[in-house]
Amino acid sequence: MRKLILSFILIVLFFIQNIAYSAITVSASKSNIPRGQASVVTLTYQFTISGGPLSCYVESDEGLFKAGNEIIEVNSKYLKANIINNYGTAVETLNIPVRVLERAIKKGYNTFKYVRYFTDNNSCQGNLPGKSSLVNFSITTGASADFDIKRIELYFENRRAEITIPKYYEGLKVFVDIMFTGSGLLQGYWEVDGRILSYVNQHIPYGKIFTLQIPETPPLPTFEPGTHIVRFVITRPEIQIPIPLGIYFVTTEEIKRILKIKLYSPENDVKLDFASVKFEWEKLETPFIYIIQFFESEDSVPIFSAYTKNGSYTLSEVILNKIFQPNKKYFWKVIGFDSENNRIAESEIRSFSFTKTAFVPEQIIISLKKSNYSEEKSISPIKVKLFSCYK
Amino acid sequence: MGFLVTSNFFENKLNTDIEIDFSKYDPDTSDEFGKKSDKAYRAKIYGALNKYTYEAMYEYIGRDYQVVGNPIQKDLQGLSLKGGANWVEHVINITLSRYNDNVRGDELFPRVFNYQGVVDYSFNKFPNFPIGLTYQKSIQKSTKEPEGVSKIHMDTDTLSARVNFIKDKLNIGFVTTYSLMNDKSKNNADTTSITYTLTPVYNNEKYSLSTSFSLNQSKVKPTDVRTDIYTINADLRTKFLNQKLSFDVAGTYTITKANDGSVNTKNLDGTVQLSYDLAKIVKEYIKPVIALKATYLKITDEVNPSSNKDEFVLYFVFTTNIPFSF
Repeated sequence: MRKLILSFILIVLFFIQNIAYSAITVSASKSNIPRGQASVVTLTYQFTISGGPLSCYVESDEGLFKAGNEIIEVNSKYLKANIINNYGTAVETLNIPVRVLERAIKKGYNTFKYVRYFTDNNSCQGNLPGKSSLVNFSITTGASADFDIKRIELYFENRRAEITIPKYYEGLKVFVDIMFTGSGLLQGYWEVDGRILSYVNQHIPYGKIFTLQIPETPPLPTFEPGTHIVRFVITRPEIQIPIPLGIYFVTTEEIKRILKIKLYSPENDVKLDFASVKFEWEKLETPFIYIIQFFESEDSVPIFSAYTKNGSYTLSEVILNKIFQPNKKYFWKVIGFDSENNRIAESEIRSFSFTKTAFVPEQIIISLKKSNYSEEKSISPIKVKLFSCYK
Repeated sequence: MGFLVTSNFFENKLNTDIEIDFSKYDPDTSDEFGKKSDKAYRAKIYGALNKYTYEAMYEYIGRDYQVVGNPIQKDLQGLSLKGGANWVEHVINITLSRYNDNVRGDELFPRVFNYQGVVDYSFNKFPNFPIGLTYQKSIQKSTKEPEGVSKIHMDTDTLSARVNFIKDKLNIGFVTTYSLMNDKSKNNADTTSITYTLTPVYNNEKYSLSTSFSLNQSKVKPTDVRTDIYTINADLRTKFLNQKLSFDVAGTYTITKANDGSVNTKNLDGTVQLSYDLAKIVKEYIKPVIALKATYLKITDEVNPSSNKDEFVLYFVFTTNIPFSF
């Protein structure tokens, strides 16, 4: 009798041990799914089986989407996990189509579940516990969904994912539009030909499409002719969509680098007498000829230009009186050209204005004797005479 | 199908845009659900008055509004206001907005409001020393949560400062950004990010050197893991022999470390090229170039040494243009 009781206790302990150590657990990469959009979720299954052989396998022919207790979609994707030393894992990339969400919503649910039934075909000698896995999902709006990247679009300044540029092209711009749900910390890096250029950490609260531009420094390499591939690789959140590529092709034809011409005088934003004035700048080695341009506003067409081979230009009084006016602001800059007439250097833009008002084109200077000048506001006889003449 | 009406009064002082678009879209033609119709519209008024600019916009994008090939964030409505002033030495821009999702007020889902404000200020009194500051505050709050749905309350603060020192051909830039996403819901999934970037650049007639040094720190509160990424970049371009011989270098060195020891990598990746332009020797229009190019890659992974790499490759390269037309 004592042996019988002992055997019974041992059998019970054996089953308790099996129950305690045998399990199917599943974790999902996200559980709050936005409505109206297909989603991809990574499911990780873990199998722990006590007893039975050290190696066996479990399998599942299909997964079931359920709203309440009603099946709303069948996923006929086969899943198998090998159990080695009583332990096994399997990863499933689960596509959740829009129709699953719509069917659940139509039935009045904002949740649904995904169930898989597993069998070991007696390879694990019936020690598979529970035999089913369950994942619960919530359907929600874009803002309250889990932080997830839904779409990535990469493009150059021509709004396309490919561009052809000359060698040594500077300032090539790349943009990436990211459509996402939820809010969170976006982490990633810009990469060209497999080389990391810069890292990005950016909090993005839910809202409109987020646009990111590649930093100006470090620049994209343009010294190697041929094809180059630029990407923005997202490391957080984990993404299941492919990362797009941008391809730029560098030709062997070189772009002439635009050198900077340093302006010496006059200083920026100075007030000058309305008289002949000398404009001076740094004379570079390469430029063959310079053009100095004058503007009425920074973004307007030049009102006057002059060519010179020197590092200076003097604005003559003839030009001054014909084109410029006092009490008005003007802008100027210098551009350098090489012997093949290529633009190779440019200065910043500076402003100046003329202050002297004593001589104004199309106006008359009147010289009066003190005796004829009246401090009062009444018009002196000489002024009256002048107005009469003008009429 | 869409309609857009624009107007421009008083030389850009008063502009208006009014747009309305309609769509019929079926995201899955194999299911029992057919096409869904919806609309999107916006009304915008904007303009510039001397030194000042302004913009006010209301927009509505329907829950089922979709454009094939050009998707936009849908199920969104809200108002945004923008104002700017440019006093040359001082430039300030302010943006305020309020948006919400769940535009149809579906009771199965919460409605999330997003309030955002951005202030950007630039101080340009010293042309050689421009300074800028940007502050952005975003508040997200959910309302009308159905049973079983957690509340959302998330505040995000981002402060960024930038300064440049420009002297002749030297330009040294420094940017730092601090950002905190404060999750006030029961999840308490706060994250912080700090970035420092220094970019000294020198441009000469015969050579240019662009470098950048940056540190990106991020911390995830639930796991208390902080990750530091140090990045050093160099890009050198030089010309000799009457612009015919070029020596160019581009390289990156990164160190990535996590305080829990899960990541500890060092990565050096670079390219060096010596090239000679043959355009003056052979026909100019085919622009032939010969080059000696070397690439080097070294990865040192302290956590997973099986990922370690040490590669050096040397190339002899001949490139040319072959123009053709058909």
